Amino acid sequence: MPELFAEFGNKFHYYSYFAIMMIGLYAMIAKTNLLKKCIGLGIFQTAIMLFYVSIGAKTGAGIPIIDPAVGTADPAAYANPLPQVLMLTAIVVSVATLGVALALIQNIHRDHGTIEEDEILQRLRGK
Amino acid sequence: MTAQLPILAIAPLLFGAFAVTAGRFLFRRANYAVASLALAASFTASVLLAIQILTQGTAIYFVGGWPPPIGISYVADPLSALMLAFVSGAALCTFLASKAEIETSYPLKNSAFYALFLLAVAGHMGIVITGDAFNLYVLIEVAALSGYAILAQGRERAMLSSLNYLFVGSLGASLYLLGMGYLYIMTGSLNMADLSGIIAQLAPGGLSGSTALAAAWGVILAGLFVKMGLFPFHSWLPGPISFSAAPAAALVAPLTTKVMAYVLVRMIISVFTPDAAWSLPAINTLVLLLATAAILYGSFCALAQRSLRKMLCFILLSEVGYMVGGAFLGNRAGLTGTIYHIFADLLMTLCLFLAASNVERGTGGRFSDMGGLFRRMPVTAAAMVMGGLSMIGVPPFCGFFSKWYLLSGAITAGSYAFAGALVLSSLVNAVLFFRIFEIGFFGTPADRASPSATSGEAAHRHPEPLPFFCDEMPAARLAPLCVVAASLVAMGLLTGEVVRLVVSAVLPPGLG
Amino acid sequence: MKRLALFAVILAGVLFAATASEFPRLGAVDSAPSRHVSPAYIQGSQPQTHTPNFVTSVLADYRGFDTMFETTVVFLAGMSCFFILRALRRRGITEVYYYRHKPTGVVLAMLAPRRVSPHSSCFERIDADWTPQDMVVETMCLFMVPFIQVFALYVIAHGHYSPGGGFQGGVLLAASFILVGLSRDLRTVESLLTEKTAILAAAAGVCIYAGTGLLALCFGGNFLDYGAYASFFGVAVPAARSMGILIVEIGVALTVMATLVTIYKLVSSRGTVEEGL
Repeated sequence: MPELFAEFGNKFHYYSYFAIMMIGLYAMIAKTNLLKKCIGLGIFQTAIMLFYVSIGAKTGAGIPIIDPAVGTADPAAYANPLPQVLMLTAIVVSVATLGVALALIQNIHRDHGTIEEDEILQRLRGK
Repeated sequence: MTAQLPILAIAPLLFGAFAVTAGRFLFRRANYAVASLALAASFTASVLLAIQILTQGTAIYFVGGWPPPIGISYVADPLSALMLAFVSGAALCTFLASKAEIETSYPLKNSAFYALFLLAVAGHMGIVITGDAFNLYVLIEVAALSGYAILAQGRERAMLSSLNYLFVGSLGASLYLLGMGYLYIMTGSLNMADLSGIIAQLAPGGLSGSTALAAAWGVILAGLFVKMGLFPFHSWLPGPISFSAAPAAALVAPLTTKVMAYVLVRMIISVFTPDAAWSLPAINTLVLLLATAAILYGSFCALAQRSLRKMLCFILLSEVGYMVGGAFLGNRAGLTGTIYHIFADLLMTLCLFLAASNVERGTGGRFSDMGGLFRRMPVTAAAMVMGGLSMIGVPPFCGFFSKWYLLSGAITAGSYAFAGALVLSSLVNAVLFFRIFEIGFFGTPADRASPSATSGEAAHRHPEPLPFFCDEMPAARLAPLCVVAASLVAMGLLTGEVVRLVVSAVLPPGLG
Repeated sequence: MKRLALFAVILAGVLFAATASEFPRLGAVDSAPSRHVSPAYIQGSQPQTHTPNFVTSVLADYRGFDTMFETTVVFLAGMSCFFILRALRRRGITEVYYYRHKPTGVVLAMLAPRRVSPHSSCFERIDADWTPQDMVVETMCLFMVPFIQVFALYVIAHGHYSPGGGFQGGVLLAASFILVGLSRDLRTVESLLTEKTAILAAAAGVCIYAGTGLLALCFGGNFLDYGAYASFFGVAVPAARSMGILIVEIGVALTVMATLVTIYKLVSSRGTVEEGL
């Protein structure tokens, strides 16, 4: 039992990221409002970004900018810059996708008058 | 100069996109010419690169001058060089054949369409040649975003289906990103060649030794299957392709699924070596099952369709099943069949979609409107016949040889269900295409006036004597279609060379 | 349907959690990512690129190719919103322009194509959902705009030495324009940064980035190899890399600013760029 608690204590952040990811996935699948699906996509992508950024954390390290007092002899003194760079790119991509999704939702609202997916499909089937 | 060819294949597309954006305000009339020039320059560079790589061997290009794994590298091996040439050639043919369609489908926004088109092609070409796993994700998103935008214009349901495609496509790309995150957390590297070395060290006996690496493989596969539309993740595919305007469908349909299948092959060959990728029997059997289901589902749904484009969408779904199943048969013949089928299917789908857009321009695409069409549009008819025969698998067209490799791989691996599905889908394709040929050659134009007449009864009425070529498209629009149709035969005749120079060169020698 | 989705999602979550057994614990200093490629970035950034901020040097130099495509994604988002949303041809909607007579407060509604000249001194054009402008809010917001922009330029230029860079500075610049749009109205933003200027600026920004890379080919290096400029400009290679990073960050900021303002204008006015929030 103590090993299980120690294991949970070491890995709890991974479990929380997967929980957030599943909340986003549920919103994307189960909600019929198109904007709520967008929000679900955002939550899903945010969980993945959290996963990457937490890879770069190091105990007792500072931000990835050179501290003249410490120098660069020991890489363990600075947080890993690579996951942060990767996630900068992923955040920008997610914002761009959100912009395009909002433009499409605006056009759908203009054409159908509603952004509930089941109402739109009913309307299209009725025609 | 020749050392810079990998980047010179993509750079003209980027600069072309910016030129047409500026050209909207400065030289609007020349925008089409500028975009065509950019595509032609990119195609020329890709062909030169392919010739160089096939004669001199693999070349690795360090972007920014930094060696991998510190920097990003572009790996031009025979497979990626030939794929690059095919992708840029397909895009050039689509663009040249669609000039009139673009002007009618996107009024007042031509330059924006050209910019999005060029960037979509740049994204797909980058996916093919990159050697860095995270760069692959960024390029997947470049290609996908431009796809979402250009597929949104068309018939009434185009916007909603494009939004659905956006949600599912982003989900797939995010799953790929998560899988790659698993690989990064276990290995610390993003470069494909470096990753394969470290994975071989961490899991020498196959992926079953490491939960995280096996999970990485599973999650990456899930992301790629969502993005390429394998059953049961296929529901996003028929909507955007059938409801959007013809030029967008002709660009996205041939390229997207094939490039994602190429990424799957790249993952199997270069990141996880084939031995590691095939070391989890549970995943192998599950994927083969899904591929078989995809082939059967696509074939039978295509039988039920009443319009040409929707039928082609479902045929596309079963072609995805061919490629994925072949990759997971676990032997050399299967993987050869998959790689050859990526090229062959690119050409076949391109030929059929271009011919379909010609047919739709004349009629509207429903079978009930196509009576006697082939007598009035003989060149389009010839191209559609060649594409259809290639899909069915008739020699000397290239479709026959890819089915040959896939079938022999399936029988060697003992997956008789997959082999049976292949044969069955050839038969179903024969029914589908001969039905179209019957309507096109032996139907009468009177079928158009009386929608209540079924094609069967009207087909045997005496055909009206109409002059040839009366409904055919102008020659400039037919030339790319003829080139693509001719290349179907050429590809079939050159099968031996392609397999020897390209496919066998990239597969590891010890592969069974 | 919702119950099925909930069950599937919980099952997927449990499966994912089971895969975490081999992952390193939080903050591990000896995990594979901390040992493999990143020490080369940490130790090589200052001597090779004269950039104390490792994130900037990795973003713009070591992995600059990714950032170029990221900037292309931003440009693509702007072009996509324009392509999808911009209503260049009215679809039979009757246009009504509202004009308010400033001395008396009387509002006139005029059907297109009749309009009042924009230079008229006693009539101002208002939106359909106009409310009286609060002078305090408007003055304070417009007063803050220059400070925001100066800070944004500082963030761009100081990205080598502190957290910052092109993306962050570009977003701040766009925020200053959006503040004008929220406190005044959309037509003011359109007159400050017209659609044509914004689209050209977005394309120019990515051209600066890709052009810097392409020009390096002419000087003998690979694509995006800023060190190739060293011999031509007569400086040491690390200084040339530092200057190259600054130039591409400026391009990135230009694109991000122009695209975000374009998206704001299009989305808040439903594509017409006439009346906004």
